[in-house]
Amino acid sequence: MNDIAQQDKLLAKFKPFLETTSTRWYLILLVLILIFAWGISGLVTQITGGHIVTGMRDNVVWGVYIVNFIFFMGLSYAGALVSGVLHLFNSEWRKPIIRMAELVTVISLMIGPFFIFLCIGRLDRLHYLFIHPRIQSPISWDVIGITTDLIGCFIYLYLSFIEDFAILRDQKSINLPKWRQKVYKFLALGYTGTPKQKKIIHKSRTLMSAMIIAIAIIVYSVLAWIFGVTLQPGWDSTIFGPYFVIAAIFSGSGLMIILMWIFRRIYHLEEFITKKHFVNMGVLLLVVAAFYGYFTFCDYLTKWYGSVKINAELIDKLFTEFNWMFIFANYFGIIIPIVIVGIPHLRTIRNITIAAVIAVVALWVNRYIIVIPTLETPFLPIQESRADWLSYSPTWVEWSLTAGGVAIFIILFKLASKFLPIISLSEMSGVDHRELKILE
Amino acid sequence: MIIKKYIIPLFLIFSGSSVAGQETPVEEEPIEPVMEMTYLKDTEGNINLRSSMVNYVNRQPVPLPGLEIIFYAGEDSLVSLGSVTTDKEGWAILVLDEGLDLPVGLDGSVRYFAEYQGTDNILSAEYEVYVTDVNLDMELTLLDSVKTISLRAYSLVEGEEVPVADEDIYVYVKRMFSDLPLGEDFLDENGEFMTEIPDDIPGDAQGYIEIIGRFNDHYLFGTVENRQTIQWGMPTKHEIPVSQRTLWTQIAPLWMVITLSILLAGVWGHYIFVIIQLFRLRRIARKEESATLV
Repeated sequence: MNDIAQQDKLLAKFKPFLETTSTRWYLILLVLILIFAWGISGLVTQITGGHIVTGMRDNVVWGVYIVNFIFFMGLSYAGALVSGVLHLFNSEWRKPIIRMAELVTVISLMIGPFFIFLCIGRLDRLHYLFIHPRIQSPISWDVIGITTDLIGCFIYLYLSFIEDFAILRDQKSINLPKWRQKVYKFLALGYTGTPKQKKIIHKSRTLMSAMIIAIAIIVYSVLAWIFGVTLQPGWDSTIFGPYFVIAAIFSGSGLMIILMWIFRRIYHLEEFITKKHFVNMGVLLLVVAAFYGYFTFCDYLTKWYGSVKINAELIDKLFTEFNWMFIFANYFGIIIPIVIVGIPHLRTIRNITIAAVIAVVALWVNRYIIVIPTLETPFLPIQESRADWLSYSPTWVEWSLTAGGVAIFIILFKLASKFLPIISLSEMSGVDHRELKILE
Repeated sequence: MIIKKYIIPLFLIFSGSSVAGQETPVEEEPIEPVMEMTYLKDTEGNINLRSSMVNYVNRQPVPLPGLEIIFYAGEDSLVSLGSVTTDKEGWAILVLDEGLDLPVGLDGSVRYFAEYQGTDNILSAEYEVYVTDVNLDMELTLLDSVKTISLRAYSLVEGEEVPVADEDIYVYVKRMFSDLPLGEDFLDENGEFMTEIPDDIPGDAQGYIEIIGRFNDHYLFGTVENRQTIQWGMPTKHEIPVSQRTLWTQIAPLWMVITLSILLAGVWGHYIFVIIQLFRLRRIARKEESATLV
């Protein structure tokens, strides 16, 4: 099928979704807005009542918020790595799914840092991080890194959108409101697909995809070092950087599979997102799950073998109080995806999606058992140690804000997929490297 | 269909595991508090009765704040001394009024008695101590350039000073976290004890140190102490060494500054380059548009 025909076919597919909005779409949006509003009510309660409304106390100073922060940042970096690598290697099968990866990158990156703000007791002093920066502090590295990454990902996303903006601006078959046409025209930057323009876009995208791969690895390692350089049982580990990066790719590939499954069903994209895509992403999930399992084993084995008293206490806590979480995150979460994708007979779209859901939930739980049991096992008791300060359980405020975060992630994804087709039109009909060489 | 097939089973698995983790509430038994009381007579002669209330949970003491402790003196006919509520550390400290007429027993001691009357949730508790009143004088003198501490302990019997002989007494110098012992001995027949102080004890910036003479939780006298501050220590200078890893330093390691600068310059340089390319894209479009019009 030639490029224009492929493009027209896709446009025809997305036409109903771009032109009109169904009642079902609005209903889902309403439910999501209500969940988000619940999160806002939690936020108001926290601002008016102070952090005492959360489960965080003097010992466990980080709770579900930091877990969500690491989790969302992980999704973002995984999206960046997947989209960057697929673009760089010019994989043919990437085309229908690359936009999802790009959107995951940017939307997660927009939401993740908000959870850090929720942890901070004195938000009025937040600007001190910028006016009195100490570059020897991992917190400063994180601020610099996340800001740099966010801007880079926005540029990368915009670069990948320009050609689609131009296609939507020029198309005549879809009846779009005037304001939207104006927005497409403005954002398309006058792109008409001349060889010169194509070359610029291609060169910039290749450059940015390489950049965001590097930045994603560095920034997520920095995030891991916030834990790794802290002298706390379970955190002070040399492998935390690569371990976090692998875990991020694990959760990100899982989320990609879930999104592929959802959008395939909503937009009936069976023709474009095929079993091959699920199997390829599933194989990525399998490989990363194996690495992730290996890193997890190494980390706990060395801690256990060292027999340092505090590490022994931590491991004991993991196998008693956090028993079911530990088993779910580090046994089921790793073994199930490997088994499902590893056995060809089980390798169906539905099974791969179930494996992905388990992987994503397991990763969240894994983050929880990295943060909470460590803080519940301090080296020294604090001056006034009360029993209820030593154990943490999230309150409704924390759960509401967590649900709010997930809701806004889905809302932004819905809005983005309403504004632009979830499958890149230009990628599906675009030129490849060889054609560009000829153009040059 | 999806809800029925996946979400409900998953929900049941998770809710089931959380329900399994919950325990049936058990009716709580009342707390059995542990009370203790100490006696302290300070330099000014004020008597402090310090009572603590704790509950032992897993062999760890947990303070019991907000409990009213009533203090008495005497054996058969009790004299009320007052009541104090325990603070967040579980302490109730009563400072006795001066000139209070306390009932003295036949052996010359006073019985101090603390009581917590209890509630439905916390059982009652009590504690008593017997203390014989003594006075402790301390003199700090230079004898032939030797820094010397002289202690004298005596009790008042019908207005007469009776020396306290053959009892264990201690001398300390106050440090930041605890008191550093300088000497310990038995009082002589005149109730006196003398010891020297080393010259090299670090003091504050001006060389002041606080010296303490004390009966330390004595079986007859409780804790009786005399504290005096004198410029007998070595002045200390508090110089904070420069460290690149402290929270307050502004100095970052050079390698870190260089690495970070190179990394940021590299990344932001590429960003700027790409943004320039985007402007070029628009410029090319305008040029082509005007060329088409011509």
